[in-house]
Amino acid sequence: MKLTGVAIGWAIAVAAATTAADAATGINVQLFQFRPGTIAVNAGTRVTWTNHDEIEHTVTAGVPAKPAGGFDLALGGQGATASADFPTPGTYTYFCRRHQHMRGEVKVN
Amino acid sequence: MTASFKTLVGIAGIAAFVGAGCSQSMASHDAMAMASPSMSSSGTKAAALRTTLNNLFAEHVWLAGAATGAALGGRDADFKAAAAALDQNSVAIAKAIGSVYGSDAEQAFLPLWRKHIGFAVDYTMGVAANDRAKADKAVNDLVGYSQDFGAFLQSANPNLPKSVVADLVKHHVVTLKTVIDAQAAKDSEKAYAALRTAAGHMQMIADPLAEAIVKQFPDKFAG
Ligand SMILES: [Cu+2]
Repeated sequence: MKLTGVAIGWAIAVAAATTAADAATGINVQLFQFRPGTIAVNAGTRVTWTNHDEIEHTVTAGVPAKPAGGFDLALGGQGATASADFPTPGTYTYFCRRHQHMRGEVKVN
Repeated sequence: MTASFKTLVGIAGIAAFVGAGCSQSMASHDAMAMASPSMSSSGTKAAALRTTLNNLFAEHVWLAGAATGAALGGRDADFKAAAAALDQNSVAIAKAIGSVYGSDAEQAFLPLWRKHIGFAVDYTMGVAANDRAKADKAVNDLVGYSQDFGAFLQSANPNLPKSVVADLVKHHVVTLKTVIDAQAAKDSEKAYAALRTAAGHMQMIADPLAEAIVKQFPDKFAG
């Protein structure tokens, strides 16, 4: 995945380096939804998405009409995980490029 | 009367489908096997679910055929009305899914379902404009879509294997493509025969879906 974002407080963690997501910072991707759709975390938290659908989804910063460019994570299929660190407070929306009705939000306090 | 009419149409469609002896026979066989017949499926609630899904899916094809026929015939107002009715059918199908899997699933299902209608419209427009590239892209999109749809149903219900669902959706696409091609060729006889086949084929999706849901929630559909 090519990362185009610059200096907006994102840091992408290597998916392989993550362990099982804990309940507070984990988001399940299931039935073509991000669950929970909105998550609140403290600054500096690493959020991990786990795909339970047998199809590729993405976790892409922004909204379809206006990708933010911060991150664009691929969740290759069932069991795939990917993570992103959120060092800076703010509200970060994201979506799936393959299924653009899929939307989510990370609120960083 | 309506129900028995649809049943007859369904059977005729299946007969035509089986008679065609195409490579899809594996898929239909798997579809039958994946939800083994059980007593639970003959209960009143299970039968109601099966009837609802069959009616909605068959209606989907009739309305889709009406919409593509109007589009290819250059009947704009007719196309808009058919497309609107088709969308109401999509909403009803999503509601049926939601009645089993909840409103979140309903909201995820609806855009996914609408997407394949969008691709079918793209194909129709491509054919109407003699734009081979557009038509081919729409077919590719529809084939790719079948995987997404299969993945969705498998996530919802482990009794619905992705590959089997995908094959059934692919066949739905193929049967509707036959309708559109005949409509484009102004071959009404072929178009309506193909429309009956396409509508009949939906039973191959509706029945296994109903069976799988009943199997997943036996208590909900007992009696
Ligand atoms: Cu997706």
